[in-house]
Amino acid sequence: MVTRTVCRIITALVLLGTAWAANAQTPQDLLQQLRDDNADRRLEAAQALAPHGPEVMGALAEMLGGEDRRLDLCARLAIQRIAYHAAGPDGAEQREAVAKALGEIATSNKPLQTRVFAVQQLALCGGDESLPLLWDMLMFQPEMHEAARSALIRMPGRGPVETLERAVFEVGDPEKEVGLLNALAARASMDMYAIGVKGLEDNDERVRIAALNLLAHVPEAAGAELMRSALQKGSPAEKAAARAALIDLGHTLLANDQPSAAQSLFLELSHSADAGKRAAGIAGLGRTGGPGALARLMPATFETDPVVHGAVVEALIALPGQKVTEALAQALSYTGPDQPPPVGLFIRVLGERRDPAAVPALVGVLEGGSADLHLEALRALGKIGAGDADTARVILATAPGGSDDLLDAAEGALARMPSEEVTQAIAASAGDADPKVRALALRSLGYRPGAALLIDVLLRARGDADEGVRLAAVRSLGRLRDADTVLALVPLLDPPGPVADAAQQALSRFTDPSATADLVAAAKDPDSSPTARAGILRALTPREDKTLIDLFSTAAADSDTAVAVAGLEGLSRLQDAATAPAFVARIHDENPDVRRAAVRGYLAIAEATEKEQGASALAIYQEALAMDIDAAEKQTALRGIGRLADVDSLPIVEPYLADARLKGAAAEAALPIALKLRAAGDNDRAIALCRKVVEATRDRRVLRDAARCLREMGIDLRLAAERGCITNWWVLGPFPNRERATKNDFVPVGERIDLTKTVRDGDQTLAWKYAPVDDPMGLLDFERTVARMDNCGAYAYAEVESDRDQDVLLKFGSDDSVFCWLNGERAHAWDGNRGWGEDQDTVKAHLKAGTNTVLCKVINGGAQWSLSVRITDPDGKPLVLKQRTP
Amino acid sequence: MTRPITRRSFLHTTAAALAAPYVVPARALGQGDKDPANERITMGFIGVGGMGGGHLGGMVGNRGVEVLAVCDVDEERRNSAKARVGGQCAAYNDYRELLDRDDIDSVVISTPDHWHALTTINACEAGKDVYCEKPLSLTIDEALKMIDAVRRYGRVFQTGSQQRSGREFQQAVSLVRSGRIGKVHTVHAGIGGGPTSGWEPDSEPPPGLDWNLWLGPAPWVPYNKLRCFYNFRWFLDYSGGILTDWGHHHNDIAQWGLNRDGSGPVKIGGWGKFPTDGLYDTVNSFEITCTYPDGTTLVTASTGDHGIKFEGPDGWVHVDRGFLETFPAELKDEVLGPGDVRLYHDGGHQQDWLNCIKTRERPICDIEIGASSVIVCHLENIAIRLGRKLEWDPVNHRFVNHEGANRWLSRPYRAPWHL
Repeated sequence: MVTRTVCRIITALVLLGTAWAANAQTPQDLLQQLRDDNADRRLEAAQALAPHGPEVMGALAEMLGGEDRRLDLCARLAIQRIAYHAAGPDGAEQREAVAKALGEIATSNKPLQTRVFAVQQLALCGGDESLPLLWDMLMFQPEMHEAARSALIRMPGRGPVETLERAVFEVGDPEKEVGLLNALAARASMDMYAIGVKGLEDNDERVRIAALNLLAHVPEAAGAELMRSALQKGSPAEKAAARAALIDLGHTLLANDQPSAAQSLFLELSHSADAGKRAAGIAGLGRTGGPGALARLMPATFETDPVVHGAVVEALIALPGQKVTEALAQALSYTGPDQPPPVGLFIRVLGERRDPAAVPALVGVLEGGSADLHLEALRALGKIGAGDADTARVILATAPGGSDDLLDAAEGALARMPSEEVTQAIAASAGDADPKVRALALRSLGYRPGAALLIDVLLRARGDADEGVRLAAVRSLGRLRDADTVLALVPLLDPPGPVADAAQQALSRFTDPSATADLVAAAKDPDSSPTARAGILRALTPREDKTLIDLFSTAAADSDTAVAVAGLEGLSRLQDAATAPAFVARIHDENPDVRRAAVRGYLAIAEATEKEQGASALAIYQEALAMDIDAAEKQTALRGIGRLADVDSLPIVEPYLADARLKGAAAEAALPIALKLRAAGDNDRAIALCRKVVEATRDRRVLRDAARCLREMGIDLRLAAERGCITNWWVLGPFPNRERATKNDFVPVGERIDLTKTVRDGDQTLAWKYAPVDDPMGLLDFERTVARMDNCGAYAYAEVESDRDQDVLLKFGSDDSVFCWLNGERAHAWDGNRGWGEDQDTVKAHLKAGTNTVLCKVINGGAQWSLSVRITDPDGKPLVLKQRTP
Repeated sequence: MTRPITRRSFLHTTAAALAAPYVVPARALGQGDKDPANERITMGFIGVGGMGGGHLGGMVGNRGVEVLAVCDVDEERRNSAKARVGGQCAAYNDYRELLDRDDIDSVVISTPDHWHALTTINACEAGKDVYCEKPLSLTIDEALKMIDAVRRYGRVFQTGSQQRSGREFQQAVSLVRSGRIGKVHTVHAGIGGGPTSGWEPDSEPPPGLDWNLWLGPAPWVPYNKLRCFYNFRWFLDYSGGILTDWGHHHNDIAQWGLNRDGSGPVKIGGWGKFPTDGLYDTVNSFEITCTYPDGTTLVTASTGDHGIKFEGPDGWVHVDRGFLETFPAELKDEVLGPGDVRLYHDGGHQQDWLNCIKTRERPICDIEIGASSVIVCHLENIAIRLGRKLEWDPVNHRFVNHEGANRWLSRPYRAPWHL
């Protein structure tokens, strides 16, 4: 038995192995798969070839550069994956072989772009083995020089750099020397200093400038002297290059652990007469730090040049070291004979430095400084987020006497100061005589979780005589969400008022299960007042928790109005069909508030379930309409009936078509019914109903569909034409590229258009196409009539007859840009992005007696694409003019 | 090949030849709908195509701004922008000429991405404040060098990630940073997929387009109309595809919400599909997970709801343009207190930059912020390209488990261009 089982297992394994072998693709399969018609399979093959580099590179090379562009692309994708794999941790063993194969492609007789591609891949995986090849290209193959230079910049290690170094002065062409020097600058190291120095001796100015750029990146302070020399003796271009090089050199030195050298360079620059150089020097000092920097920056705060001043501020913020903070802090209380420091600026800087050492000085400002500095000091303290109990006390003593901004800043500062000691100090102020102080303290405590003491303080404050204090306490309890305070907040829900509202909002934040359980228990507690129970229910509503259905259902049946409404609203939010009876039970309630909540909830359930349970949803809508309810609920019910298109509901819907408040919603409901009647062959009723719909609504979509329905039944209402809209257009397009379509004329805009002529645009031949408008507002939809396309344009052309010369108004709506020519003259242009709207632009125009041509070009950025043109007399009265038709 | 060029040399070698229409007298007037001259910020535009043209419209109408020059390598765009500004606005083909103008205080850069670093760094060297479109850079190294330049020269820099100035994003991030949904464990950034293209034969560039200068530091290739203008973003030589195009926007908000500005993830891994037909070569569908040092994950994907969704133990916050939803639903309207993290910033993204030019403070999306956000996008792109999970050191900006990946930190510039 055992033997037979083992045999079965072995057989299964063999079969599995065979199946796996059958599914496994060989490199040859994958190469073939690159020709597959399925894009995903081609990509899959290109990716799967990655580990097979040496084996397949030859075959892939054969595919490159041929006439089949797709195959060339797929081969490139595969080679890229092979190169990436070879450069990665799993491909080390293949790397050299892949590089060799790439080298062979690069030196083959393939097209130049293919060879360049190979070198670009070599840059990603090649190593020293490729250097002879790249050297040859760099020196002796002009067409490959740039590719080789780029590859050498990208390849890591010393070898490529040495190749570039060797080439600089052997290449014998100033233009290439410049490229090589700049390549070296991208890989600069100390031993390139000599190359830079030699470059400065070159006769060619371009080479000398490139050498300055190289020296700027070599961490050798001596380079500065060469740059200074170029600044004095060089050509204007060299002087400019030397100026920038000095700045860059400072940062190069700094990045290479030479802060002293960098600082002396930046100090020198910071005294420059040139403001830009001065700003750069100061910015550099901000990074170097040290006493020299600070000594320079402090007086620089009086700089009047805004850019230099801005650089000083940034530098003072960035300048490392606590001594800097101390110096700035000391300056806040300077009373000497010299010009007083810009204290406000220093306060802001101290705030941005986020250094706690500044706190005492800022507290000093609060205690002794002028009132206008208090706000700055509090904001700075808020940014630093530090301070002790005394700091807190000072803030609490200072802020309440000031503006709302000051209170806001104080609260922010107190909120961010750490330590239990601070919390205690704030908590102590919660007993202050001044209610403003108490409120500020309590609000601040709301941001300080974890301190047991403060909960007691906050709970005590619930009973404060001052409402502002009570509010502050309640809001903070809500922020802290301490599970033990849930039940303490419940009593605050009664009596109604701001505190109760705040308590309810606070309780809604307690979302953990234990808090929910506490609240449910409180809501069920017979000792809880109805007002409190209602508040609890409303606090529980936002969490949309279906485990609360029973609670809400019970509440919905409660005799107290507030409780019942809250219960119904809670249930309504859950949109659960099973709760319908709870609403049904109250939709005829005598109490209007309860009735309204029940109807809303009932309708919400109908909306949520109408797709699956149409009949019961319909019954709900019908029932709701029969009730004495608000217009908003009736609209909901009417729209629901419309979605369900119930013919039998017509007698219920129809009367509302004459109701001023509800006729729009009734039209929405009636139209689908009319369509259904027509589909059933009852055209008479359908026509009558559609006519009523058209009279009842201004909704463009409803109007359009009603007019279309009527037209299909042989009745043309010409709604748009009667409003003066052009409805007989010919369209031409699309012309790709928005910008191109905007700027170019593809038809003779100054002439009457020959609609029989085609227009050639690139590969496409476009013909004018008649596009009558059936939209009641006259909207011509280019997406339907031309193309669903973004970033393009199209023309619309029409001819209108005027029985006399007359001044008119042209009213345009467009999505997006519109350009219009009337009788060959530009009549209007609006260039930008917008959605369509009726009569967005109005322009004065003149119609001549006889035929007038209207040519519009409408540009689409993205999504919808449309136009409407309406013609009225100068008073805005629509002109119904005869229009050309086919 | 043209002469080797650096902006510095260009300034002086061509100074004599420049005949820029300096407009000091007009600026000094301070009449009409403009602020007085000494309060106006003078401005130049580098790149006046789609985004640049949009910015130009806003700035031309701003009473505190005077546009003195525009630059574009396409003659038609350049002349059109010049005409739009009117007055004595100058138009340049080469941005270095614009930077050479001492009377220009600031520049708006809306070039293709592969030009962002060079133009920004040169602008800083020339003493200009900079507004640069996103994505901030083409490579990680460029982003770091841009930080250096802005700081070294004390410039005010705004990254064009304007979502930071959107009220809904500010509220969303403030809620998250204030702990309203507890400690965030996952962020989903839904950015949509990238497009694919067909083939288009190479051709001569159209008249008026300086193709060599359009390519600039990018590898030379023949002109192809699918590469140029708006479509540049679907080519890895010039951009990073949808991952930097929309990824920069949404990853930026994710970083902000996670309080990781100036830092980044430590592990990056996922999958992505590259086109196997057509000219575009950037990834078009993908899902990448970035893991931060505290274990929080950011999942950037081409599928799923658009926008950024922060998830925590106490709820979630989902934000997109003009859209903010939360759970609990009441959360989105919560008014935060002074002790919370409140990241509100009024005035609009461009105006914030203009204000900061005057105050010399850092704008809401300063260079360091833009850099750390775009670096996330670059890391995602590199991980997809290399097809493996990468480990990243966000302090030293190096990959620690794949030396080959470090070759992707920068890309060599085509000579004579260099950083």
